[in-house]
Amino acid sequence: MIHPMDLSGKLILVTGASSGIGQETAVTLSELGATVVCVARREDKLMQTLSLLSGEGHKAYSFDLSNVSEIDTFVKKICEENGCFDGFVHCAGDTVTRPLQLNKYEKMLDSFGAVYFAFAELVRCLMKCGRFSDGGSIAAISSVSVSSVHGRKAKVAYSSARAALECTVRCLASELAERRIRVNAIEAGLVETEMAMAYLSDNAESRKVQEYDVRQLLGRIPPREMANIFAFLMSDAAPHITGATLLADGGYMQG
Amino acid sequence: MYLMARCEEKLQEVMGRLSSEKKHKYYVLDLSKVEQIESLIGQIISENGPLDGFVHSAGIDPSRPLKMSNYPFILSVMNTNFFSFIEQIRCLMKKGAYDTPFRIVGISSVASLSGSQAQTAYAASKGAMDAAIRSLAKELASKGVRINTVVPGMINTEMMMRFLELEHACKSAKLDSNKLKLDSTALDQNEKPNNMLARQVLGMGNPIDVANAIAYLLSDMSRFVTGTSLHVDGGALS
Repeated sequence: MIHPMDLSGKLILVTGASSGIGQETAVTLSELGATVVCVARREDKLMQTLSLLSGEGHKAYSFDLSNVSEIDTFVKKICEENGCFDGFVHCAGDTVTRPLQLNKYEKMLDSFGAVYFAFAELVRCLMKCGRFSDGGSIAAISSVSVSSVHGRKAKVAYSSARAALECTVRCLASELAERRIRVNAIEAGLVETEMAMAYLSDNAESRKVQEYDVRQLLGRIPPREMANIFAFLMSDAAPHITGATLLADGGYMQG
Repeated sequence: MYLMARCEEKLQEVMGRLSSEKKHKYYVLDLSKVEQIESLIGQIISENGPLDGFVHSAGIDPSRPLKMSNYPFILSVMNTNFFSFIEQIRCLMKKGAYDTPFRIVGISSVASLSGSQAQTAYAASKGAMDAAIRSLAKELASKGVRINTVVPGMINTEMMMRFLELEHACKSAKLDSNKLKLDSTALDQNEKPNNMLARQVLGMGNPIDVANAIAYLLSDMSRFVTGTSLHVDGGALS
């Protein structure tokens, strides 16, 4: 039987792989036959991800992506040790809520670090000769808060970093089209990750959190569903999707 | 009106064109030096009192292919176009620095919504701005602050002319490398019209078209408008 999302023989880089959507994506990709190279800050959690992967040959690297200037050397290393990549999933990033007065320049830089600057630099370094296959696929996680005209309070750093990411995705799609490399983003609504759940329980009383549950018509999204979308974009089942921002928001934009 | 820019000579030229006898002033600052903004804003406020509005029109538009878009480059574009915008707003939103109603207008770009080659850093900086104002509109509404962006298409400015020249040069270079005949007629036949300009059904815009939109967003005529991005693009995005 032909499986359209079969990923056998593909080597895929996953950042933010120590938890949440990144971890779930690494697991799903491995179940579909891919060899996965996991990157995240926290080594213990990263090892846990590695133990969850099916099949052999996966690797894990503990690296803090906010050290953007070290990414060049890091990419060189992982490519030398693992070969030429066929896919790259970028899930690194955290959730920041910070009122304007606390949003000083250094804090903004922090928020843009792993989410945006690291993504742009990772792609730049991966596109060097022999490191990424023509016809490969790149996908990054973004948030519905970028598109939502219901822009939320104290989310300047969070949503603008992801907006920058989405714009870069569109430009890269056009620039890398001649190599048939696809570049896409997924705008997630409220996904049931540990990170989101911690945030929710801290802010259970806030109107914003309650609003999420009302507006997200199909309820909170299990991380596995996000992983499935990444798997689809990484696979040969989506050879003509590029420069797109896929909405996976349980109906948030509609509700 | 208080003007702020890098180049003193050009600032003086603009000062000469301002009408009315009001006490306009100018300040010289390179906005890419984000950490210097706080003290300059402090100085402007202490010399002139609270402000009623702020327009962020500073921006750089360097096209660079991905290969050359390294971190220092992207950071420099982000600093001038976006981080300085947020830092100026942060410094202006302190007690005594502004009167209400206060209006903020940022100049974004159609690049925020449509991706094109070698525009990674520029597009990202403008996209960040459009997202930020939606969030800030909520956060600052209770303080009597409105914030919007204007999204210009191709406007007849020096920056745009440089961009078009560069694009033309790139195309010529490509033709050259393909060993095509390189006389001027060959160029004209082979060169496609700029995509964005072709989509701009009203043709090339003028700086006054953007200035009018800014004036509207600064005025009380737009008192019910906040958190939006006003397209002034001759129909390019439609």
